[in-house]
Amino acid sequence: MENRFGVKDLFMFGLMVVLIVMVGLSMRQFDRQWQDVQEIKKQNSQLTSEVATIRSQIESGAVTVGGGNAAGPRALPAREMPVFAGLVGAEQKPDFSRGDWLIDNFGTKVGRLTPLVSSDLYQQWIESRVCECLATRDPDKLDFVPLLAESWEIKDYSDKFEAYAAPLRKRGLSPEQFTEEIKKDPKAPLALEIVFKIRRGVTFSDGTPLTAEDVKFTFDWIMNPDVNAARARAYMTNFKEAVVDNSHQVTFRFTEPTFNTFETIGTQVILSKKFYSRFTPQQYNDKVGLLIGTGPYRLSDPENWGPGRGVELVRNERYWGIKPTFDRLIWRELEDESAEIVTFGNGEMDIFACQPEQYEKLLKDERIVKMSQHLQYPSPLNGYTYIGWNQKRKDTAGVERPTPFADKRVRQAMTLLIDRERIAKEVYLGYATVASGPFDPASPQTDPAVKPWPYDEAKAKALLAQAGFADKNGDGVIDGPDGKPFRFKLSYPSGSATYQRVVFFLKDSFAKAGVTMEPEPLDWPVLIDRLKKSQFDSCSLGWGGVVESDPYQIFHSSQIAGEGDNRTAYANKDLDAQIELARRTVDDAKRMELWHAVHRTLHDDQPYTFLFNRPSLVFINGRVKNVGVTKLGLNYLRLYPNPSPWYVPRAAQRYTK
Amino acid sequence: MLSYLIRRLLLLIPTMIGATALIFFVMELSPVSVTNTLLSREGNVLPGARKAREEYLNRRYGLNNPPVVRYFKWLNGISPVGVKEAGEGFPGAWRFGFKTPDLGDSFPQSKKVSEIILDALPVTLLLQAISIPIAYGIAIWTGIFTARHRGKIQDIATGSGLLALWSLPVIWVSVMLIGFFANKHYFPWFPTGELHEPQSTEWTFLPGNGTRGWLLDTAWHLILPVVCLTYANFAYLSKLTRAALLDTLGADFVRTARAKGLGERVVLYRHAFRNSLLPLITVFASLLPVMITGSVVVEKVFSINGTGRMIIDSMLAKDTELFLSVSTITLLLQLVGYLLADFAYVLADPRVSYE
Repeated sequence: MENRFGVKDLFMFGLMVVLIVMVGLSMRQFDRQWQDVQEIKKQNSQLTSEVATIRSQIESGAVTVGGGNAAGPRALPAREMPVFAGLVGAEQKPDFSRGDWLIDNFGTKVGRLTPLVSSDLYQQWIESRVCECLATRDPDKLDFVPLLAESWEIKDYSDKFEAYAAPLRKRGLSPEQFTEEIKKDPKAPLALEIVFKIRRGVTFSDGTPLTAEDVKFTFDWIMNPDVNAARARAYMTNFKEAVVDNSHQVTFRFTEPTFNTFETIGTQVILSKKFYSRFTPQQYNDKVGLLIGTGPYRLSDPENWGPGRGVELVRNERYWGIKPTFDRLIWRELEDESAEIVTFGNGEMDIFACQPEQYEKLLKDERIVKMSQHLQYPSPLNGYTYIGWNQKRKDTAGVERPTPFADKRVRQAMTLLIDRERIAKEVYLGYATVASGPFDPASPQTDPAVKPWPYDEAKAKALLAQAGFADKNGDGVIDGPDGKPFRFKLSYPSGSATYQRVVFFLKDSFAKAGVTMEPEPLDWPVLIDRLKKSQFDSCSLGWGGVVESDPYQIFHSSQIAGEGDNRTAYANKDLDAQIELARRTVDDAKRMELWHAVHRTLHDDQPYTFLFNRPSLVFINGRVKNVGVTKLGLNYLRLYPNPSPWYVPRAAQRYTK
Repeated sequence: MLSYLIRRLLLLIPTMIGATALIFFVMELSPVSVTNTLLSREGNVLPGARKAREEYLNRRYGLNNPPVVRYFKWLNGISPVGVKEAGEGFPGAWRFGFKTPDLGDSFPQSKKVSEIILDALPVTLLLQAISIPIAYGIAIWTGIFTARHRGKIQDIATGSGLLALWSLPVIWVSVMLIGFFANKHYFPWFPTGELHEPQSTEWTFLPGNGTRGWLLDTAWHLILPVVCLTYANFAYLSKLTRAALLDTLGADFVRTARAKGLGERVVLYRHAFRNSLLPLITVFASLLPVMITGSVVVEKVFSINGTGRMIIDSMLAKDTELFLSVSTITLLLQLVGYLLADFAYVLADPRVSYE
């Protein structure tokens, strides 16, 4: 009974708890030291093998002063390469300094860093700092400039190929069937050859030199059906083989001429054969953090990154090009908007991309404006928003019926009824421009002569009347040819206040003209499902963009059936032919003419009402200097491996010891 | 006692099967298919490739099987007794016997469910393990304090204060806390989110070298989330303590104790307090699963990668395997929690017995 829990026991108990906690903590500390030791050991062994390689090269006489051991003309030194022009320019500034960290934010959790198998944009932000490709777009001229390649040669055998393929083309095959036929025929001539000379003296961040074998491995790996890289593979249906000519030259061969082949091959990041071939495709698909490359930054552990820890890149000291400015790149995972704003205001996050309302609000906040710089810039990567008019709706039983939108005049009238200029001004606060077609206004694909349809209610009503839609009983509501009031639903993704306001604006505009539009906000997966089953009247969504986009998947009639993206069942034989022709034209100037024709046809047909191209709005911490805008967006390109010219003057550096 | 325990444990099995079947088939009824959500995220895929990809996903994860088959496969996976791979578990030669339970794979993340949970769990456990004792400590102290001063100004003031705390929505409080106490322009005392400073990876573990060290840094980052997790809980718990204590203080045996001439402290702590612990124990049983599920709001606002965020993401991605596994674990803990509470009653109250 008197065996009570007393003060002494309590003391002993407390002592025990403290002891256990201490042991736990010291184990944790030991773990950290162990990791550091492993890292040092690894670096040490890499250094040793590098020194050995250099010694053997010296002994064999392969290395001469100046590094010019390549046969033929010497490659351009990095300092003179167009890609590094921005960085070299920054180095000339009086307050230029290296050092400091750049802190960016994802706004979501990053789950996977392994190249090819990851599908999110954020992974590409990181990949483009760690890995490099053979060529990249010049951000100002938009043409391709060498990066890992010294030079390339494109051998276009289109004429010979077309002569061979002419009878096959007359058979009216779909482009997919055509590709199949060509691949089956062993006598089919080559359509295209691209020879890449690989730059010498480039190493991966673990010290292994980059050779033609790595380039070949990358593309063989993509074409391996067990590797979960369907997305990359989809652009390589015409890929035949990659052949290693010598240690620094690769020839790619293609079965069909396709306009974006060079871009597909040239901008594919090159994987290290030594690093990735250790894994089976299954292991590769499942591992989340396998990332190593030749780029200016590296993961401190290229194998064992795991989600939930944010991403931190450190400088790759073995980088072959011009040393990047920041010591480290850090991505946080702040998801909450107010936390993001506060963090940015505290100077603990350097880039804050915002929505129009946030942008306007922050512009009024003097403290934020004083400590930062703000920019708005158009970027082809932002794509466009649209309203898609479904021409054949399926009911729940799967029976297909044409909708009023099957008539071109009705679609044109719908566009005429929408005052897009006003929406841009009132809902997007002026941070939007009216789109005239699917191509970016800055892209050479756009025909500058095409102007967006104006807002014109009278003309719209006239067009509707021609199509049989008019107010027949004088109640102010437009009736269809069957005498019933003209009404339709607009499906759109729920959850965005801006979208909601646009949709209400549309509803009002249509109501004014006597057309009833019912807004139908849907959850994203449900909306996707409806689109797939064609159970909608119209939908409002957006497409992402690239510099030269391919309208084939969205507007070609072969993409209506099955799994294509032509969800609105739009079919126009002339357009099909125009798109096919443009896609197989390798010559840039000729192809742009053809794209202009596609743009004009789409403008006249209005399968979509093209709504807006929206600029990016961004706030950047004031200590970062040399921030500018290129044709591709900010001069710190998040999606391309181009080196960034941003820097922080020594005095303003926050994270340098 | 033992027979009661065994009966309760056996009852767990049908309850678990019923509940998981319900969750599985309700998720199955949703019009969204998991391949769809996966494919939609991949965008820009040519039709042929998309078809191939869909077939690959269906084959790899057995999505072509009817739902009943998939449910039983999953059930067999998590069960410690069932059909097993040859040579695995006990007895070795049989196809049927004991085996290691396996929670399966998450398709959207193509990762083992157990790995995903183990990634997120420690963070949530840490937060809860700090906040629950604090909540209980404060709640018991204020509960006793208000009960002792019943009807006086201290009681009324504390009572209204607690009611106010209880009514404040966590999402609002956490955003306000960040806005004022993590903001350079007001009181820059705390960080805005996440669990570590970006610089902390190079710091030593304990304070030193002019840094505050990794340990203190983590503690510092935990303060605001823990405050948000704690305040609503203790408001509720302290009201509960107060009510229970007042109830006991009015009982006959307390009057007897006072009549015997025992001091007020002895009456309160030795006689009344122990007897009013029962409701607190019951509530603790229901808090046990919360330790696993965490708080979605707090984790979202403070950008902490805990289980709360993981569960919401799994629901949105229609990640049936992950969601089902978390539900199973939560359910199991809930049931075990009630069982533990029932036995804790015996310890706290000699009148309760299962003989």
